[in-house]
Amino acid sequence: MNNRENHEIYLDHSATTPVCSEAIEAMNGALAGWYGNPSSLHRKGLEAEKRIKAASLTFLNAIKAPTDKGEILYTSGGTEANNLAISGVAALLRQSRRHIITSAVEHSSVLEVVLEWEKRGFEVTLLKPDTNGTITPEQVLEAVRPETGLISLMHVNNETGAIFDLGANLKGRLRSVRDRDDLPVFHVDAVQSFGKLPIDVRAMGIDLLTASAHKIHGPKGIGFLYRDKAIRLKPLVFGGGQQGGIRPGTENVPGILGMEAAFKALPINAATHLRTLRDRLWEGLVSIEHVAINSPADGAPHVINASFTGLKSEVLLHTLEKEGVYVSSGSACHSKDRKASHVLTALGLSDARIDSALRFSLSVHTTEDDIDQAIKIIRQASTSLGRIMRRR
Amino acid sequence: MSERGFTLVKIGEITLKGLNRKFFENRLMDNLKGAVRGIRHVKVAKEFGRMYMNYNLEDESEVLEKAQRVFGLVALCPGVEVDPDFEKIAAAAAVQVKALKAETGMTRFKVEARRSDKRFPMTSPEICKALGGVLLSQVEGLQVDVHAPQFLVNVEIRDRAYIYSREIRCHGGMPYGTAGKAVLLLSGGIDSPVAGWMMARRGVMLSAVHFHSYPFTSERAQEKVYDLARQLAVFTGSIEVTSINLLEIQQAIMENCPEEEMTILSRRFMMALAEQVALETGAQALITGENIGQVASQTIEGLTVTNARVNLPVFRPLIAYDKNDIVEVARTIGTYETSILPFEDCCTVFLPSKVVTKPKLNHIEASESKLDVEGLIQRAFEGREIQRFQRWQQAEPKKD
Repeated sequence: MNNRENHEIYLDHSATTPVCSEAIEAMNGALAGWYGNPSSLHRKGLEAEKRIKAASLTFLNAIKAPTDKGEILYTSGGTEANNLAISGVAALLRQSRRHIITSAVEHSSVLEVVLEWEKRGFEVTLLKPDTNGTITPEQVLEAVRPETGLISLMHVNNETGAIFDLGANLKGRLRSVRDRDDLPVFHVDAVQSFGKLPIDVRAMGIDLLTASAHKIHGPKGIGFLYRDKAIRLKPLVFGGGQQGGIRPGTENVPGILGMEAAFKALPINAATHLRTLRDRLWEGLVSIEHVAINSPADGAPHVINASFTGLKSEVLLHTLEKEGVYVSSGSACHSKDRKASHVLTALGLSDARIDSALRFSLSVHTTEDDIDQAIKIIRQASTSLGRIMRRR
Repeated sequence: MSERGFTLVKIGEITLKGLNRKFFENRLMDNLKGAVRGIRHVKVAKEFGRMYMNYNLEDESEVLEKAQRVFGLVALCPGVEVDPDFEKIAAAAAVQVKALKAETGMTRFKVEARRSDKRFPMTSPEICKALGGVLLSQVEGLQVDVHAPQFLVNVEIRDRAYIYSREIRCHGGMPYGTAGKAVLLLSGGIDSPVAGWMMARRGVMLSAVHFHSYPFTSERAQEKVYDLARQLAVFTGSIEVTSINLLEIQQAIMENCPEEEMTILSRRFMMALAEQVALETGAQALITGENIGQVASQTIEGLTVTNARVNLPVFRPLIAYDKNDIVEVARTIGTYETSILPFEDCCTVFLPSKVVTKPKLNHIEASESKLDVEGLIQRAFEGREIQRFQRWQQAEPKKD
């Protein structure tokens, strides 16, 4: 059905990334060699346990977490980690603290959980972004009430790349305005930023943080929730008491080691490289007729959301795919159900803008040549489709 | 060796056939064998003019489930086979009837015996009487009712004795492949798979054709049509799907013809292309899921205009069905869940804002004459892709 004469240009890294050779190698080693159950008393078990501990240390250091007061809870991925964070906290909140603050542009694995707790009687404040898609710390501070028990915000938005300013140390500022010890728990969904933007949970006042392996060239089916040990979580599943009983089940050793290897393989200058590519893509896109950018200029270095007014994103997507360029319409996890993106809707964009929006997302393996080639193909596709679709 | 189960296969309509009854029966045997292929130690046999299956008892539910989907079967009667000895027959019948009563709550029964092997010491009426007595004494709450029994306890005595009292209804119809071959216009909707299934049940062999407008429609829409074909193959054994891209045709219509004629003109092209597929595959007719009045293009006038495009007969088994009835069949045959998935196989870009409901053939033909009809059809046909789906298997691209 496709004539992919061109070389493949994958620009959908916010959906998922190809697994890097380092991760594959680490996983092979784990599958063939470190097959022991970390809970087993014998040497094979101990070997596996040691390797998990080493990986946890890598991740704690990556987010500048205190290695004694913080811990890594491995999960099946970002969705589970977000669920565990929100439901784990909410289930233990006192009657007087049942107010949750989050935003209208969160990933559905946050939004849907919060709305579920709303149905169970919690109060929920959904912060609305500005037209750039950005939520400001000031907005959050304004929304905080004495009853607020949990704040959950994403670091980088998966559809627009808008960044929440964690550097503003929300929790620190909350401490100065609010004279009490039991501050709300602060959860950050960092699925899109982990490995790309600097994270410092101590300086940023983060209690819980979600990360996922398959967005950083690691395998699917593994992620983690960082927990400040002072925060109590009610488990979602029950079992053999692994990971302190908060997330029981035999640990996914190959997944964990694959994630660690993928993280270690990320280049140090990743953000700079991505930023250069993004600028190049941005320039190219705005030079195409009928294109409007939906991402903030100061957004994350790997995501651009753009509308091709007059076209339908899905048609453009398939046309690009035919030429070997892979992008996303809406957010890939749920673009099957064809509802308009809740994120772009929250930005207050017109239907024409939303219906024609595509997301381009880059990785450290994307080259400048890829970008130039992609721009050429996108320009051609937009023009030729425009001849049919912009007629009426 | 494990205990053997046995099922009598009731074949209904075929028994009315005259001289060519053998042809129908043999095809049915082949289809039935195909359906249970892969289950170990299953035997499908014909004896004394009746059809049977023998299998290991632990496989019974799988055998019955797979056999039920074979067209031409009216009912399956699972039972047990024992040595031709009255004590053993009585014991087996008691077990069977006890289970049936517990499962269904039925109590009024009648025994029917057939003694083909006259060496057996009791006559048929004697067997009935004696077995009835045993069952009454061994299973509590039973009642003999020779006029309106809720169930029959059947005993057949040949070299072995067979006892059965359950009857599982099947789809009926005629053995698949005994009534010629037709091309089914298969979309991702609810109707066309049902139309194909109904024709297949009458013994018509199917070859499907599917139209798309990639890249204006997604590959997932095509995958959905393939899933529907796979589900049809569960009944037919296998099915071939020819996919044809209509994009160039739709673009040409859009650029050259009145907007409100988009649907009817595309439809005529689809019919013409389906006819090409039919000629190529040796099919003698077309099948569509059309249904009078369902959408604007499915009026008598609309159907007349699309019909006029082809020479082969066009079968529309759903023509007078209500949507609810169609949905019910779709649920029974397992296509409904797939059909309602949200991938459209027809691009909304080409959906006109208004549609002619009473097209006139001469107007439509006049519009069509503005197009290079032959060239468009030839190019679309040459770009076709063919896939074959086997029952319970993943698809493999067909090799030419």
